[in-house]
Amino acid sequence: MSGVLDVITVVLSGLVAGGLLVVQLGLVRTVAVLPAAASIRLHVAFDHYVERSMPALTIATLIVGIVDSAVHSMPAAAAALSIAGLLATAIVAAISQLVNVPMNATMRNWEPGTAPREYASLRVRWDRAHLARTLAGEVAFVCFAVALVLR
Amino acid sequence: MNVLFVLAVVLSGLAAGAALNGVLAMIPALRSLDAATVLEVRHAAGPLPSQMTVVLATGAGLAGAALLAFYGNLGSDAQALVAVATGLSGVVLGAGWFAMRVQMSLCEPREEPARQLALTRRWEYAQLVICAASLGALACYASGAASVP
Repeated sequence: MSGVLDVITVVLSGLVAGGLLVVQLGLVRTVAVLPAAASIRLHVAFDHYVERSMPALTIATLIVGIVDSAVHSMPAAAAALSIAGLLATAIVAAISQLVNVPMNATMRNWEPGTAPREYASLRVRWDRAHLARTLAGEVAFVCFAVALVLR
Repeated sequence: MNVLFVLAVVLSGLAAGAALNGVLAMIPALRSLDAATVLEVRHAAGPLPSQMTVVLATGAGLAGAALLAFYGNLGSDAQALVAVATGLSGVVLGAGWFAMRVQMSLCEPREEPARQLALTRRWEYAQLVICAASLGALACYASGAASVP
């Protein structure tokens, strides 16, 4: 059972990390070069769908990771890495819910086809927050992966 | 051996997460946009997301192949799982390459909407194959790492 929970934690964490990375390398770069109205349309359409899957994967990573750490004994190094992975995953969830999701809601409420003046500054803040949660997500995944092989 | 397992798990995990986001979010998002915006988006994005998949799958496949080639003491379960994962990384690599080629064709403006639609469907099917194979590779590499005696 311990092995199964380890593997599930690593798989879920990998899906979160890969999802964040492709947004960083694909979407952020794409919306930066599109005209403002088209970039808002793409951002709103993408986030409408991504907000269904990414929060669920992040919360599932936290739950399975916490259960795994709580019920199974492991070497000290693996335990420390698992806790670091959980903390980094919690940072991903916090940045998402406190910064990115409210900004997505703001963009959804704008008149379609228009680009309000505050878009440029909101774009910069969204991109910075996304970069921070991407780094946290990658750190979490690497911690869980190393913990898995050290057990 | 541990470094190769971490490398294989991390690279295949990043490929799987990227592919899942593509299937669950990017495909429906592009379907919900008008054709002119989709063309603008494809021009702006270029083949980079597919290139990322190809690079990650290549790295994961090479790490898996190195595990099989240099470590005979993995145990039969881990060896079988790593072999399957390496094969699936090859599938991701092939489908990623195909998706990259189709994506480049999709960036060219066309008069015939039927041809554009056919290319779009091919790109979407390639994303589904990449997603399924990369999820399988991730699960196999992680299970393999957990089952080394």
